[in-house]
Amino acid sequence: MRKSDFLNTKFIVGITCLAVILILAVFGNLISAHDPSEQDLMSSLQPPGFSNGGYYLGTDHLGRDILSRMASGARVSIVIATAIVLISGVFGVIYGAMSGYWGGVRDIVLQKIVETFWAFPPILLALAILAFFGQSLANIILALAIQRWIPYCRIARAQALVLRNREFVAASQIMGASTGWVVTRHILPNLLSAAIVIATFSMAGAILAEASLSFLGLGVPPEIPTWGGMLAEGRSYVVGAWWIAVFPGLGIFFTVLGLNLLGDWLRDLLDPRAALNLR
Amino acid sequence: MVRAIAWRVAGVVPVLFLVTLVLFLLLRLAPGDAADLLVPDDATEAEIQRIRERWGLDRPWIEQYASFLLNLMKLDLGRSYRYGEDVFALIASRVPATIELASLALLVAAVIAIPLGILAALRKGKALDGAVSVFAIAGVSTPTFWLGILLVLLFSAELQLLPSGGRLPYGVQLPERTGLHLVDAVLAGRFDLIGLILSQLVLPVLTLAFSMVGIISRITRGAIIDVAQEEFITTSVAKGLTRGSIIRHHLLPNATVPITTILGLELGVLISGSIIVEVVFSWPGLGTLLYQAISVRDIPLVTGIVVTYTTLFILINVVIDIIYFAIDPRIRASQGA
Repeated sequence: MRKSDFLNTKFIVGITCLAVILILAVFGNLISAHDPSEQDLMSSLQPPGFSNGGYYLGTDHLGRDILSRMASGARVSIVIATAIVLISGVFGVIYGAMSGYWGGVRDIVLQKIVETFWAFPPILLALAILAFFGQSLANIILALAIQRWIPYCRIARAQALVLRNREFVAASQIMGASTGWVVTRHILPNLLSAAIVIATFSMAGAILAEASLSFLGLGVPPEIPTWGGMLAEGRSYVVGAWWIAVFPGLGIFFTVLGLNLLGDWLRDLLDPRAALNLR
Repeated sequence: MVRAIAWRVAGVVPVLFLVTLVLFLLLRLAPGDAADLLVPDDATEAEIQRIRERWGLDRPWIEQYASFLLNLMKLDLGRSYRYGEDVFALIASRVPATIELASLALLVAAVIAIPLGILAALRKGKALDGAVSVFAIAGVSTPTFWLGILLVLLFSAELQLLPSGGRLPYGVQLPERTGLHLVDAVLAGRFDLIGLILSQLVLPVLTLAFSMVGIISRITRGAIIDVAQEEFITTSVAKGLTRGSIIRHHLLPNATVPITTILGLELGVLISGSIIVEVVFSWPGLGTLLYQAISVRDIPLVTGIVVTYTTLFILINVVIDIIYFAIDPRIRASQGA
């Protein structure tokens, strides 16, 4: 592989986007002197600039600092999306691997369940869960993870179906290996690269979905600053105060763009066959 | 072919059955007494009792599920307690607005994206190809609601060219027959209203189409490039056919199946996207209704809308499978039809 393949534009742009967001998440509250929930009605709707009392990205209708709210929003988005990806990834891989490894009736039943969850249009099941169970951080993670495990399940099952008839798997079974051993030692390592690609795209999707739910007021509880929530609250003030709408949107856009580019790059890197077809 | 189609249609029944089971289990797993969830906060004891009987809440859960299913099949989920109207009548009145918005958005996206994807594939590696890739990845990374707000900010507030929301300007009357305003205007002979209706549609349709244009053009491009590598294309080049003839007679017909597939896959994006676009543009469709229903925890209405969206989603997927049969003789043959 040539060096230029490894360090191509997708990688450089993607990693730059994510680095900016991570710096914002980690250091944002050090750059800005203001607390994200501190209201200063005397300086509401300040435009961005360097001569307005340290509100570098301006203030919203309640005089809250956009920059420090952006930083909090970044942390909330990253934490929620990471939780969703981890939970759905681990669950999906184990579910799929067991289903494929067992085969037979158990596989048929488990796959019927997959098919059922897949039959719901995306976000609809999440909305139903939030409506029935109410809003909380745990419920958002559950709601957004409930369909995201399926892609992992698909690849894990396919891999398990191929591997379970291979001789080295049969050999370890004869030597008394348990199902758990075979799955963790032989099936999971073969899945890792595909799962990482899925996880990267899935994280992008999770961040968009969380922002959409928070925008609708159905996601993260309103007292926690989120990018989606900032857009929802500031919506009626954007005429004449564009910064209220532009900055949180840019935050979401660059995070999701960075993850999508990185996912594309990883897919090309880890799967040369797909790269040939798509490039 | 008829048998294969019938088989596919019959396959919908167990899926719908399981989908309703999942919804029912979620409803029952929700914290608190189910009867409290299904009535407004200020309900009287008699009302709660009536709900208990309607949903069979005093019986074992198998019977509860049976009565839930039966009520669904009779399209009877009771009254929405926010609107006080029958749930399914309310849904039926909102469906046309959503269909008008979503189908126009899909149409606009396809009309822009498919030629763009074909051009990108034919000029692989050139500037246009690169531009399509950049547009595709930017499209899937842009939050729909943000794009909507920015478009309103630019075209409604700043330039004052287009309305910022709603289906018809205040005070304009249109006799409703189909609920699709464009069709209704034609039926009523009110051609003067068509421009007005279209101007209301422009921003929501563009917002919804934006993310789809990228994906559809990218998949179209991939499909064309895949087909171009097939041996029959090499053969037709060797036969001395012109480039135009190869593209028209060999390349495009063989790329229709993957393109149909992506149009089907975009259906999910279309549904979830349309809910948000409707809310941003105050479009009085099913999505806005769902949003309002969730905000006040109007559970019968939420359940009805989720069932409606899911059924539509499953049925349209079946229609797409049937289209495969129609356009691809290989699939017909492999299904033994």
